[in-house]
Amino acid sequence: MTLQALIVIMLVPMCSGYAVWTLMPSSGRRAVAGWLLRFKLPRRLAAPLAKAAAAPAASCGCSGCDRAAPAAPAGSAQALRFHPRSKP
Amino acid sequence: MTAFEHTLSPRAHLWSVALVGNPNCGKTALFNLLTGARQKVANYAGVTVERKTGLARLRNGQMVSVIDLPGAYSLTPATPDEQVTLEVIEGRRGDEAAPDAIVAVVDATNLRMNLRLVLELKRLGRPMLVALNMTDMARAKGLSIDVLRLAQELGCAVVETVAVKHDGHAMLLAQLETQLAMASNTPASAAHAVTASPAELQQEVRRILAAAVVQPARFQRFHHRIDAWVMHPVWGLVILAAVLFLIFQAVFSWANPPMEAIKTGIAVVGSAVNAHMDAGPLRSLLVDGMLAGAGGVLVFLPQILILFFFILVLEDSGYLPRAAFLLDKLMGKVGLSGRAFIPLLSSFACAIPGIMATRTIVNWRDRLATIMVAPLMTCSARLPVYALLIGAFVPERSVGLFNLRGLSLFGLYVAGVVSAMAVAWLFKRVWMKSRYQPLMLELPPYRLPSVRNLALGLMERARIFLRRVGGIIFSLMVVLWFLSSYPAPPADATGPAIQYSAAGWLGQALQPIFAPLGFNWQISIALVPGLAAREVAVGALGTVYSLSSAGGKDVAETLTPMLTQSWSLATAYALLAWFVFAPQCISTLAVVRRETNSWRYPLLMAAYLFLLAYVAAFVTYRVTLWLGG
Repeated sequence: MTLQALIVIMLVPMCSGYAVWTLMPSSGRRAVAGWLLRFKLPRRLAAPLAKAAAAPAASCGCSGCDRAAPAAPAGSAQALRFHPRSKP
Repeated sequence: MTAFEHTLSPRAHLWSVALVGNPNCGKTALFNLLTGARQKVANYAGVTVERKTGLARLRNGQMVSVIDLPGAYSLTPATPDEQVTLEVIEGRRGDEAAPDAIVAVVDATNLRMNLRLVLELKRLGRPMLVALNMTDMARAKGLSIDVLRLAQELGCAVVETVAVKHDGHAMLLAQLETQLAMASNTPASAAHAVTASPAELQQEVRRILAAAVVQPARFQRFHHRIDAWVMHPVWGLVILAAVLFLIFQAVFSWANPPMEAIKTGIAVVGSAVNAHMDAGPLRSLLVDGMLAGAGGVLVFLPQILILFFFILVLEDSGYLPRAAFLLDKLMGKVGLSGRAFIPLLSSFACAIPGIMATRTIVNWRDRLATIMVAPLMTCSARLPVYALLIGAFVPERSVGLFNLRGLSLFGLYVAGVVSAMAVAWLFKRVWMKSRYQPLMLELPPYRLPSVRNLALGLMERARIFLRRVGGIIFSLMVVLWFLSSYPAPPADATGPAIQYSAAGWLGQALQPIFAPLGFNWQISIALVPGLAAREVAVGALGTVYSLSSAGGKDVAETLTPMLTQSWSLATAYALLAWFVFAPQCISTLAVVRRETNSWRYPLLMAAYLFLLAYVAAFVTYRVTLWLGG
């Protein structure tokens, strides 16, 4: 096997893994990271995984926006009513 | 001793400080200054809709966790973003504890409005200090604020800040340091919003202002004179159209030199790789996968930066909320709230922040309708696709004062807006019926865009784009190259190798579905990774055509002429029509799921967009063929 083929064999699975990881829903990423952290991993790999398992890292780069949208409690909003002036 | 000193406890964990204030008072600018973050700031209300956290280092080296919250006018939430603010302050947001202290950020030029929230926050009984932001502008307006007297009246420390200057937070840092050093061991108490009548609060605000602030005698008429033109029902629309026109002309006219430079750079690298590397899989991956694919997307960086330059200028100037008022009548006619304007405008950058920005819309049906049409606004990821096809099929010529390519791009953006309005009209008539909600939006003062903000904003956009090109686009191109190269063709193969590969099979399997639209099997392959991110479709076309070409030509440089030769005009126009509506990228669908708490809406969105895209591309293809294209 040539050196070129060897590099390609390493690169393609790495890129596939990265693409799957990035496009995975954040809940799935958290679950996979949590599962992987059960194994003894090198610190360099464990640190980002721990971050992914703990923090809701959304694909859009926001901080915590992948939490469910807060439902407004019923009746909490104050309705504004506009009353047209009666013509004299 | 102030309330702040009294109740902070020097625990081992990080102190957390929440920035709370009215919308558009400069909280996020202050947050960026304190933490070194680069969160989006703009001169209109409702930019921040979710809490953000960062770390600030005080001058003694102590670290403090800073929480930036969405703007709120009161502690009685009316919209989901205001609800987030209240939940965080009260410690009801997920498993997060309440912040140890509150920094109430107020706009010094608009104390009459801002102090009402400060008084409400004070009633919570939490450790608090006030950051009097934009004091430079207040002075320029002739306002004289007695800070010591204001602190006395409010019963907490008050410091001056200028969040747009690099040392504008110095007094706030010093005050935080002093207060934390003097903190006692008394634990922070739980707090809940204590309601007070707005009339009582406003009366108190008036009393404080009379005691601590001297208002200027002169009245600033300049902004009103600008508004008389900008918000005029006829001239305002003419100005808005002219501004948008200028943007799209500039995208094509100004971007050429840097785009050519990038193209040349990629071509030089491609030639060097071909010259110095033996033929083999790695060389093919580098040339056909990375350079033709990811490099082909990189070329569009200048156009994206020019588009964002104008968007940032408009955001910083205070023009956008005026445009919202201008278009409120039109939005009302199709059944959308005037507040939908800002989320829809944000969707020109990316649908994700646009969909999140709908949290400022009070009525759920209005919000849902806005979410459903936001993907029809042309996001920046579509720009490379449009630019590639316009560059290949629209001649470089002038129509009067205008560049024909710029006009075509403007037309595509208008097509997106018109479609969004038509779909919203339909949804609001048959499904999400609700009464017209009057638009109430604070008009910010006009400001000269800050050069620092513009530079930081453009750097951030460039970083995001390069990260996408170097991250997900690069990875997908490598995967696509692999699928397009293997399995290897049989010994007696007559066509190009890609026809026998996995991607070739997929393209040929999809072709019967897309053949009525004039799409060949190469286009069918490119549409699949385009679901991950739109601009990947351009890279995919680069890779697929590079592998399809005999003799391994340098496709990074020759994709445009190759498309011109192998596609009919009808096919190109049909593909443009497809991308005006194209089904959303996966991230957008995930965000819709998150914001609506249901899979129903993202699935419905994907289905209706696919149907619209198919019908539009079919009609465009047939009509262009009929016209002889």
